[in-house]
Amino acid sequence: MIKIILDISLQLGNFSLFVNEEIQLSKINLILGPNGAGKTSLLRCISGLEKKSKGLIKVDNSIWQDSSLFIKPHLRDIGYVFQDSRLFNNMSVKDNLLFAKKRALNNHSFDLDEIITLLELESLLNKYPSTLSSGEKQRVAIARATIRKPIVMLMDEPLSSIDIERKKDIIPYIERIPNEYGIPIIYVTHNIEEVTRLADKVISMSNGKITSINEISGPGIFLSNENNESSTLIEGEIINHNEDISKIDLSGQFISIPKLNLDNGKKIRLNINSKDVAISTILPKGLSIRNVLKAEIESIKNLEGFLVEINLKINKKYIKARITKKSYKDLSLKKGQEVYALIKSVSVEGMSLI
Amino acid sequence: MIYELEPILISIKLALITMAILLLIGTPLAWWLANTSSRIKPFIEALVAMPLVLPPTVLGFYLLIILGPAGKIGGFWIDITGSSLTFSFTGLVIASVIYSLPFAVQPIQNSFESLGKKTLESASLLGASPIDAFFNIASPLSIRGYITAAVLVFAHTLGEFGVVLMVGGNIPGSTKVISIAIYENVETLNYEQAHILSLGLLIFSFVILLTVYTMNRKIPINRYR
Repeated sequence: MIKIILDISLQLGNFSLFVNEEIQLSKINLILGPNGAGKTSLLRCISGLEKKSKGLIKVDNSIWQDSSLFIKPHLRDIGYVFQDSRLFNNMSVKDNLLFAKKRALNNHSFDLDEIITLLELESLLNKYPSTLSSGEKQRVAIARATIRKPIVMLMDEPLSSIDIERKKDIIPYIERIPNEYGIPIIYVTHNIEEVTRLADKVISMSNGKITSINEISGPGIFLSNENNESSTLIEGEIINHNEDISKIDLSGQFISIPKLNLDNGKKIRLNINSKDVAISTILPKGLSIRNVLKAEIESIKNLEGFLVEINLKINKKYIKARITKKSYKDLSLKKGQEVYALIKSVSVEGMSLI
Repeated sequence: MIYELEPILISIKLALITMAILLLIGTPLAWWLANTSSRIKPFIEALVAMPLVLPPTVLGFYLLIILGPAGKIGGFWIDITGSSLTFSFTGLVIASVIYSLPFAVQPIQNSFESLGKKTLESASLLGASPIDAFFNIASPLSIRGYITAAVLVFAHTLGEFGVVLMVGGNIPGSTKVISIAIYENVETLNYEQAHILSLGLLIFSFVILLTVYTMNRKIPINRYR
């Protein structure tokens, strides 16, 4: 996958964006952060829509912007999918696709038929955008951006206007773009299900800055939201299945979840809510909780109110637990102490499981 | 009867030429106004809208001075063509273009503005240069604005009276347009002719406006919120 180098600043009224990073892109790179963090602004800078942005943008081997150069948006090799599909209402679906294909840079584009198959648009081709559902519109928008065979795709909350059921239908189409064509996607979202399902890399932003970049294959990605909820996203590998249980390898220890319809050896992403992790100082017996992992307390953080957040090291992975200050005192937990993490619930691929 | 056909033809010719000229110069002006963030935008907008509020006589008066043989433009015109701009068909065209300018610029500008930056951003990220986007996206999606502009200019020019009278006078076969002919018929108590022309103009205008508003309902527009 390609690398992008950013050293940019943007001032828009009270908002300022400062990003200085060299990012080796993974397949799907999520940009997360609260409203006003600058996620969309960053995408707009990369695409050239923010003419006031200053600095350097280098994608793969081409410089799109530096102190003396500003490649105009229509000459940048990107595919951009907006939150609202922004199809051209005066053209049929097919003409929308052809509009983009005709204008692809360096005459490299996908065959119309290939894209139609990829996104299963056969039945929509002669329809006009105003007759499509929001999910169909977005599928066409994704097709229209992809047909240009861009070096990178930028997607700004592409599923936020679509209801939950339809989202699940569209996500596989998005995954195909990097999987089948090797085109990386930079994807803005704040939907936790999309994060769990799609994240290969998570770029966190706040106040116009990138605060961290983590890979799913690493020790685990800590996520938190405006409602002060937190969870950890980690990758596990399916070891085997029996009748109704799938066994997952989590850095040498195992957890069981209701059976998934996936092959052995497949890597899956688990999202563990910090509130669903309890701590025991001894190996508990007679519990309904099945997933008990040996862990070491890595760090302890006092939160506002009645909770403490404990970072637990499970071999090479980390998960966080939130327990009450009272339990924390009663158990007299210390940094470095060996404990057992009791995992009450895990969600996989956006589905909440035991 | 045959004699009275001439003012109608002059009026239609004037209206068509004015319409064509205004679509050509009104479109880039509307495009600029819709997309600029320049500080002089309100100044230009106010200037364009002036004919809406000024009495035609005020406009006619200044045009008479500027286009007249003693005026800058009028004098220059005589130097190169040997004929006067005032009381000529060419003078009428210039006056009509200025008088109907807001009727062309405003509907087109509104269309471009309602299209919004989003559509154009979308086009540019699909590889369309600004000119490409103007011709292939913005213009087809603003067809309502163009039609409204064309019809309003046409109808407004047809109904012009004050400016025409002051700049063009009443020269049969050259500047005697339909509204002047009606006025003249009324002045000479020739009510029958006045009726024919007036009623004809009334029905014609109504049919045109009706056609346009009916067509407008069937044209797709892009609007994002």
